[in-house]
Amino acid sequence: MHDENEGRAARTALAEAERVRGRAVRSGRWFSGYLAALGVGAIAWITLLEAVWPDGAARTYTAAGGALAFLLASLWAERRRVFPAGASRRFMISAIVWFTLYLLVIGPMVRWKMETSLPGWIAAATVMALPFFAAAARTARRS
Amino acid sequence: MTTHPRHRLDTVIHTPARFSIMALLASVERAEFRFVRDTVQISDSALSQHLTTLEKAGYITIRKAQTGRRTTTWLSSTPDGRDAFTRHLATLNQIASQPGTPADPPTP
Repeated sequence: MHDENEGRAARTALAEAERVRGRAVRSGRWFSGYLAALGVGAIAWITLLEAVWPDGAARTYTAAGGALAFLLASLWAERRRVFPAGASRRFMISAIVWFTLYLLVIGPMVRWKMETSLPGWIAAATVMALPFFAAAARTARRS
Repeated sequence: MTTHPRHRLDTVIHTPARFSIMALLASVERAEFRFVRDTVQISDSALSQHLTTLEKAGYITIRKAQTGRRTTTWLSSTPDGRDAFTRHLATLNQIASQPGTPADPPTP
C-alpha cells in the first residue's frame, strides 16, 4: 500500500514536471522567430548597404539605421520572459559567423568580383545569413 | 540488501514547489521571476524563500538586470542543479514504474 502511494505520488510529480516543462518550452518559442527575423534583417541591411546605397551619406545613414534596428531588436528580446535552452550560445555563434563572413570572406570577395550588383549582393547576404536560419530551425525543432 | 529508490531522492528538490521550479529552470536557459511565479502558482514571498534554498544548494543562480526603468530578476539552473534534477527525475521514474505501483485508474 505504501509503495502504491509512493508510485502514485511519483507519477503526479512527473506529470507536473511535464506540465511545467511544456509551458516553459512554449513560452520560449518566440526565439526561433527572432533569429529568423534577424536573418531577414541582415539580408536587407547588407543589400541596402552594398548594392542600393554603396557610397555617400546614404550609406552612413543605412549603416546607422541598421545598427539602431538591431539594438532595438535586442532590447525587445530582453523584455521576453523566457529564453530557451542554448539561446545565447546559438545567437552568439550565428552573429560571429555572419560578421566574419561579411568582414573577411564573402563580403570582400563579392565586392571585388561583383562590385554593387544587386542580385549578387542579395545572394551573398542570403548565404551570410544562413547561420541565423540554421539556428532558428534548430531552436524550433527543440520546442 | 538493495535500498528503496526513495532514499536517493534529493531532499532539496523533493518539495513540490522546488521540484516545479527546477523542472521549469532545467528546461530553459533563463526565465523571469514573474513567469516562474505564475507557472508554479505560488506567491512572491514563497517563491523567494524557495529560490534562496535552491541558490544555497548551488542549484540555481539569480541575476538582477536593469531593462530601461524596470528591474528584471532572471533565474537559471546551474549544471549541478540540472544534474541533481535529472537524477531526481530518474529516481521518480524508477519509483513510478516499480511493481506493485499500478497506474492510476482512468478517470471517467
